[in-house]
Amino acid sequence: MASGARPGAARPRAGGSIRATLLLWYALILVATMCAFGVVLYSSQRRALERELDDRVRGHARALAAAAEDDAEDGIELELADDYLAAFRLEGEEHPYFVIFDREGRVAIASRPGLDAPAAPETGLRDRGEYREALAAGQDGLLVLAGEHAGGVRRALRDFLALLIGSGAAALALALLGGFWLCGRVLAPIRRMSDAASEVSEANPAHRLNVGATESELGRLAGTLNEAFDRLQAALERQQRFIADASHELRTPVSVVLAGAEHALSREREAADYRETLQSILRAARRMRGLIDGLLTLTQADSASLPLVVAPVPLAALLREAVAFIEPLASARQVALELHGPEATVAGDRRRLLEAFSNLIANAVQYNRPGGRVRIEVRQSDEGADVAVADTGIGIAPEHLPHLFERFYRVDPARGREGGSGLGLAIAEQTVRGHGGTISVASREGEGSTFTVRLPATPGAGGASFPPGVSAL
Amino acid sequence: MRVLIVEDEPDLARVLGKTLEEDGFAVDLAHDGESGQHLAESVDYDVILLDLMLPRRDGWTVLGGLRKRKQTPVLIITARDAVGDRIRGLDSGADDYLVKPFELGELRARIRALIRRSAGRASAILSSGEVELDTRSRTVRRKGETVPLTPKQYAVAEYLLMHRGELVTRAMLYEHVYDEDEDTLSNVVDVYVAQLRRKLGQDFIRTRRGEGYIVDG
Repeated sequence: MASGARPGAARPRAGGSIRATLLLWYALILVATMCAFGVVLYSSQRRALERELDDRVRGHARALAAAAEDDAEDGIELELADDYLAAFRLEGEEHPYFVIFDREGRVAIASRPGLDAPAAPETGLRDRGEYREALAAGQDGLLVLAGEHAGGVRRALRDFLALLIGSGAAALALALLGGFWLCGRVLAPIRRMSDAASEVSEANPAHRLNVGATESELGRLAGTLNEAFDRLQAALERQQRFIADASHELRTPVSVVLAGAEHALSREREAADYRETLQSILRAARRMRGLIDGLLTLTQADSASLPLVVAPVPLAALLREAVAFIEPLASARQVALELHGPEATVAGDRRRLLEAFSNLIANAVQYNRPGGRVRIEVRQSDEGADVAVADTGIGIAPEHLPHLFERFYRVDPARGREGGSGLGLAIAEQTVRGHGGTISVASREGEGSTFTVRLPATPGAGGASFPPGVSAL
Repeated sequence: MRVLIVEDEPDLARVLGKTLEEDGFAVDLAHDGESGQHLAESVDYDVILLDLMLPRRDGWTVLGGLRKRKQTPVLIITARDAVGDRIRGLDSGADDYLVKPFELGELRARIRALIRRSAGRASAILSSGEVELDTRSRTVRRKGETVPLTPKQYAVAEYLLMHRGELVTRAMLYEHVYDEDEDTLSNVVDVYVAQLRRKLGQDFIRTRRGEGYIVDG
C-alpha cells in the first residue's frame, strides 16, 4: 500500500468511543428514569403528607366540636382528656392550635393566647397563610377551628427530596460503575478480535482470528472476517503473482534493449552494426508494447473501467475480419484458415470480440504445424451461438489444460518467446466471460486442439460491464 | 578465454556474444538446452552463461548434467528473480547468478571474477616478472610501460598468466582462444607466442619442448 500510515493509527481505539457512547446513553436513560420515578414518588408523598395534615386538622376540629358544650351557666366546656389538650397548649408556631367561637362569633376559647384566626361562615378546610385550618360546627351554635402550621409538611418533603436525590445519585454512580464494567466485559472480545485483525497485515497475511474463543455472535463475526481475509489474501497473492509474472516477461526484452544499446554505444561502429542493433531493439520494444497492451486490457477489465459497448454483432462478418487479420501470419506459417457456418448474430462488444477471436485464431496458427489448417465453425442455437476454433497442431498435454487461460501460463516455457505476450488466451477468456459466455478447450496431443466459445444471444447477468472483482488481477 | 552463451532469445545472445568477442573472448552460442549441454560437455570453456528458461531442456537440467562431468564455471543469466530461483540455481552447481536486465559492465566483471576464481587467482592484476596484465582494462605493461597488443595476443597472454606456473599445452591455448567458427591451424598459437616474446621479453614464456608453454609464477 502506498499509504505510509501505520496500520491502526487511523483506527479509533477499540471500545474507547463505543464504551463512552454506551455509558453516556446508559446514564441519560438512567437519569431520565430516575427523575420520572422521583417526580412520581415526590408528588405522591406530598399528596399523602398533605392529606394526612388535612385529616389531622379536620379530626381535631371534629373532636373538639363534639366535645365542646355551651352551658348557659358555666360557659363553654371541653370534655376532653388533658393529654389531648396539652398538645394544643404548647407555645410555638409549629404546634397545633384551636379556637372555639361562640354563637355570636366571638372567640370563646383559644388554645393559646394571641391567636387571631378569624371565624368563617362556612365549615371545611381552608388555607390561611402558612396555616392549614379546619372549621367544624359544634353543638349549641359553637364554631370550632383547628389549625396547624404547614411547615412540618414542607420540611418532611424537603427531607424526602434530599433522600431521593441522595439515593438516586448513589444508585446512578453504582449503575454507571456496573455499566462500565459490563461494557468492558462485552467489548473485551471485540477488542481481542480487533487486535487479532490488526495482526493480519501484508507482513503476516496468513494470520486469522480465533473463532472458537469468542462468544456466539462474535464467533460468527470472526468467521465472516476470516472469510473476508481469505478472499483478500487470495486476491493479493494473485495480484503479486501477476505483477511478478509481468515484470518477469519484461525482463528479457529490456535486457535486449539495454545490452544492445550499451554495446552499440561502447565504440564507433559501422552503419550495418547500428542498423542490426536498432532492429533488435525495435523487436524488443514491439514485444514490450504487445505485453503492455495486454496488461492494460486485463487490468482495465479487472477494475471494470473498460465497459462493454454492447450492440448486435454479426458473428460471421466479425470472424471474417479476424481471419483476414491473421491471414498474413497464417500464410507465413503455411497454415490454411477455413470459416464455416451460418450468419449468426450475438449481442456484444464488437471490438472486444474481434480481439478475443483474433487471439484464439492467432494462437491456433502459432501452435500449428506447416501445412496444417485452422477450421473456424459457427453453430447457432436457441441460447446463442458457439464458435469452435480447431487446429491441426501439436496439441496440449492434459495436465496443462486447466491452466491454459491463466495469465502468462506457457505450455512450453520457451515457446512464448516467438509467440505473443502470454496474455492472449487470458484476454479472450475474460472477454467471453464478460459477455456471459464460456470458453472451453479440448485437445489431443499430436492431433490438435479445439477451443469452443459459447456466447449467449444477450449478454449475461454481468450486463454491460465485466463483473467487478471476479478476477482481481 | 572461451565462453559459451546458452540463451534462446537470439537478439540477446547475439549482442552478448559480440560484446564478449570485443573483449577478446572466443564465443560460442547455443539457442536451446540440448545443444548447449552438448557444447558445454565437449569443450573446455572458461565460463558458461546459462539462461534457465530454454527450449528442449531447461537450464537446471543442463547444469545438473554438466556438473556430473565438469567443473566449468557457470553464470546463470535469467529473468527469474525470485530468491527461491537463485537458491536453486546456486545449489544446482551454478557459480554465480545474474538477473536480467543487467548492465554489460556488471556481466563482464562477474565473468572476469569467475575466471579468476576458477584459476585460483584473487587479484584482477596478473603478473610474472616484469610483465603485468590488468584484466579490467585489458592492458599489459612491461616495466611500467604499456605494451599494445592485438586481441588474440592479449587472449594468449591472459590465458598463460592466468595459469602461470602450470604447463599450458598448445591444444589448450588453441581451445581457449578460438571459438568453433574460427577455422585456423593450431600452430597459429606458436605465432602468437613468438609475437608475445618479442613484445614482452624472451624469458616471459618458456617452451617445454614437445609439451607446451609455461609462464613462471
